[in-house]
Amino acid sequence: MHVYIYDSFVNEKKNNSIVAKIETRITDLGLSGKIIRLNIVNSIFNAIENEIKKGAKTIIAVGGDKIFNQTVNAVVKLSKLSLNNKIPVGFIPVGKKNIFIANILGIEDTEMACDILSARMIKRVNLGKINDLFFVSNISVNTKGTIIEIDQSYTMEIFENGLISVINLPNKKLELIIKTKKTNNSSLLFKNLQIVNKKSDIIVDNAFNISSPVKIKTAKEKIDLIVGKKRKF
Amino acid sequence: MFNKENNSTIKNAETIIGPSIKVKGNFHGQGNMIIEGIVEGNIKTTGFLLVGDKSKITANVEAKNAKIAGVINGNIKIQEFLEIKASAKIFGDIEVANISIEKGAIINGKVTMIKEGLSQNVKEK
Repeated sequence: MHVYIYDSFVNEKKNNSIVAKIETRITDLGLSGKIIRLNIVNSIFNAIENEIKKGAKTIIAVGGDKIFNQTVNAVVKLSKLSLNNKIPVGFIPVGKKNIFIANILGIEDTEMACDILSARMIKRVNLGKINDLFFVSNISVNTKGTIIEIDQSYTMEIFENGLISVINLPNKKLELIIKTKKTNNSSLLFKNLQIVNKKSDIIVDNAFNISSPVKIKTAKEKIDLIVGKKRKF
Repeated sequence: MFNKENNSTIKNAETIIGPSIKVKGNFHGQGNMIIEGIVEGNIKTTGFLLVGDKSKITANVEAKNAKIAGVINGNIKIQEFLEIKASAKIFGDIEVANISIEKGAIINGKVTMIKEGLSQNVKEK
């Protein structure tokens, strides 16, 4: 059974037509399932836990990058509880701002997202871990005021404004990339990294912010994602 | 900044430290390494090390091969070949199997030739 987790903003009136299109396309493709509309009272973790117990075979996040990340986190954490360790996660992006993760998964638009679910190409993906949260793609933070400690053996300070990114590479490695405007970029591979920035938050998977200090490492856990042919990994 | 020859090496580097970066501590790697910034501590790699002309290093340095164009305050151990560019300023002892020094480079320290591939201080007979 397919379970569709709708982000709360998907239920807004302005999204009625796109939701109608998604549901029509899903029905046409024979992928109908249960729809769970998130709101203030129901948590995504409990909702997915209940559906897995009832026999859900696929969980699909419908909405933005944030709901995708939350779905991945819930499914991975439930896998660790041995509920089912290989439930694939799909994604149907809603809204023009939520194209970051979709782009990585090879999803260009809503219609294509439904077709990709139908094709059901599954890729087992390594995850990164930031504190207790899993991330699929990247972490970013401003260089200003940031101190990085790597593998508990050395620290890095950056003297120019720019952006620090941590990229989750497909080969189970994490890469630190520092892009500044005036000078050459810096990059290196690492196992463990700590970021401290008292002024700026850290952005996870382009979806939400958390405050520092944070510890980043490769996760032991993996996740099955439903991906398109144009995926970026 | 690096010329075309050096840029081709940068593409293969696993670690690149740009000019706006300061590294403190034991900076160890296994692949090729490019350093254009500031390093205080120790640098060690089993690959190639390129120290750019703007870089300032206060550290002991160990690598398989190296090209140095910046300032190094510390001892240097290179297993195979060390190329010292005209802009380099080295204040420390050097142990190396093969060396080339461009006119204009400054070296204040003892240079010891060792057998290629040996990291220990082995003098040629």
